[in-house]
Amino acid sequence: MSEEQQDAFKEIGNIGAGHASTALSEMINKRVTMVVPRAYVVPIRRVPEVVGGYEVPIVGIYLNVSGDIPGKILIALPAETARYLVRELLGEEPTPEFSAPLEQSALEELGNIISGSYLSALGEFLNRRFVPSTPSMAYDMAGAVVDLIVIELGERVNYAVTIETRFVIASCSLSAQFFFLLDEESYRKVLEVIGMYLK
Amino acid sequence: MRRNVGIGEYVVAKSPAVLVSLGLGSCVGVAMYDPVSRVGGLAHVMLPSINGTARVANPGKYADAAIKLMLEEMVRKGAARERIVAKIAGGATMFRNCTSSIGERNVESVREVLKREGIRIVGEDTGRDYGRSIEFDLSTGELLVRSFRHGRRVL
Repeated sequence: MSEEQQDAFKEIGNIGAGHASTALSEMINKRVTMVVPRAYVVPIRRVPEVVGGYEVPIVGIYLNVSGDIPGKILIALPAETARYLVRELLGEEPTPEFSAPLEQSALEELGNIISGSYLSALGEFLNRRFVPSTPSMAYDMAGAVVDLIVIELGERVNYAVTIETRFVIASCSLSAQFFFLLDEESYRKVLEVIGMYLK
Repeated sequence: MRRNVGIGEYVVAKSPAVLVSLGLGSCVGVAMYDPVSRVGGLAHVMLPSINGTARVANPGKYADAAIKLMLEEMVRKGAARERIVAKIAGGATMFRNCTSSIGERNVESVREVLKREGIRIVGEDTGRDYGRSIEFDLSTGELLVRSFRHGRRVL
């Protein structure tokens, strides 16, 4: 990835995440700030390391993106952040392993709203259609949570283009990572669209 | 000596060595062992079959190809084919409303390939909905399965 391309993808992350952080903030009625997005190419098999290490417990919310430019979305929440969000959303203390269906639905709905606003902002900017799937969550070690994404992307390619955004929620100790992962074909499609603007 | 076996990789070694795969979700860990020569191998497979794959950069990704290559390498390193046994772990379905059955298909394929190769499965901890880390000790042939939600188990 050239520096110019990296900047372009960071800008894409900015546009998506700006909307997403507003949506999240409105949902929990708390301040949400966004750290400047990062864009990079990562070997598929190293995706678990990007999420913070193989055995770190996380809540992962996963969405498949179809439409003009297919990709994957993963929202990775440290357990502490997930606990906070459940408390804010439901007004009660979560179960230790987020095993209650209501908690799971609340977290998935949160994933739905964040991803929806991220993708609609992106869609508008790029003038392309992104269609998110129903979100699905898991609470387990990061390696196990992300390996489905690794498998699905890795079936065809060995590298993924990753746009990563970190949200800081309410206080600086609570954060969430938002990943938009693209295979090479989707990456090219985005470059084509951006190219039209750059020219 | 501990060696990490990353996703889509396999490693063959001789005792003393501990082969480790961390955070298996839908992936399957295939551990094979000859108790006499203490030559063993661990594969961290992602997909059921290499069939229909046009460009193969990394055969260790696929259950069928990884098992075959690992068996060949074990024999080259001193294992006797007829003594080799297998233990398998992983192949979970991690996401609750996800339609992917890749974990199940991986386990099925591993069982099928091992059967075809005449390798007996002597220990198995697969399926369900949780992640596993595994440590394969080549001095004993024991496979330690650790999980975050369901404790530890030795196969």
